[in-house]
Amino acid sequence: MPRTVVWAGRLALAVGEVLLIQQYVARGTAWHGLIHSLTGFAAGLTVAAILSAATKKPTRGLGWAALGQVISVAPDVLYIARDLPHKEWMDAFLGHIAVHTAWAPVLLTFGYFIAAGWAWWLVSAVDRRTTGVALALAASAIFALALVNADPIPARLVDFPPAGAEEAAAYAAALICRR
Amino acid sequence: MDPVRVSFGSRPGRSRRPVRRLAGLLTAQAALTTLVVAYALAGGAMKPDHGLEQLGLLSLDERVPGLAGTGRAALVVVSGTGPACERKVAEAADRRDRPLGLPTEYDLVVLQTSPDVPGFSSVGTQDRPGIIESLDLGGELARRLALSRALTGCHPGYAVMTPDGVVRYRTYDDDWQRHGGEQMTLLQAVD
Repeated sequence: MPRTVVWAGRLALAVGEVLLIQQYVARGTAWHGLIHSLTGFAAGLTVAAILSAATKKPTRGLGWAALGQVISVAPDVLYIARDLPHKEWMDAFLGHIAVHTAWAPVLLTFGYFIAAGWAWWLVSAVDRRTTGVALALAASAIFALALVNADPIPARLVDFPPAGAEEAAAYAAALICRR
Repeated sequence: MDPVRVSFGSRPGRSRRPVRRLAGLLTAQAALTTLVVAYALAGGAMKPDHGLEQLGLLSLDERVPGLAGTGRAALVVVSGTGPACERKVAEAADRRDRPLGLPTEYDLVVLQTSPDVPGFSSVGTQDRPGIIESLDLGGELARRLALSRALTGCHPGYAVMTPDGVVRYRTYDDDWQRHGGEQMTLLQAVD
């Protein structure tokens, strides 16, 4: 691929990234942007690692990470551009809904991103296919397990966690009892 | 343990370039680690319902005693009392139909609550649609809307209500007065 095309692509990605961050920050939802971007990067790098192992050729991590991010943030883009509120089925976009109520979403998605990054590097850069794919699959499995076990989105007002620390502790105890 | 096999492009096809890829990976990871640490240091929210804040999903479908339909889709804001909260209410009023503000085609009802004021009253703006009703009501409605934190400091939140008074959504949002676009999407969906 011509070098100028590669650099034009990188520049377009950088501009897109800045615009995306700006949209999240303007809405006071930087937290959402962070967890969805991390999820997308991680999923993209996981696919890049597996593809690299399958084809025995290196893959472009940046491109796959960007593609993953596009998929992961798609429901938010639909919200902004098409006035479409979130729906439960949007979990199809890399767990876009469930990740909000999973255990420690920032740590979860950050850990997934770090693991997937190293998995991609092991396979694509130093040809350690078995180790890399095992790491990618293990990280993906932990992430999927966290999504499956995420708290449900409240369907009644009384289901929302309470405000104060004491109320929150009582709520957590009730949640444990309910499971 | 097998030594790591490093290839500098000796294989057929595209070069693996491990050092260059490692540099790229470390740069990306350092950048995102910085973001995550900055989020944590800035007091990144770890509240019990943080994942539910500004989720944008209409998951509710219930009536709340004390809240009556206004005849139009309405944003019911629960705001504490005090200068900071009142500045936000004034800013919301000022931004109506302007960028970042809520269009006047939807009602905006502000409940200014205080834990010291007992009881609650029915709310409705049918006779004066599209204007701000600022009502000092006490904490009971805030609790019924699961927005009790609005009572302690200035941690406002809002509910989205259908024209006939069914609550479809509730969230905390400290800068609610500047998120008219986000709110309009939800109000359009319930109108």
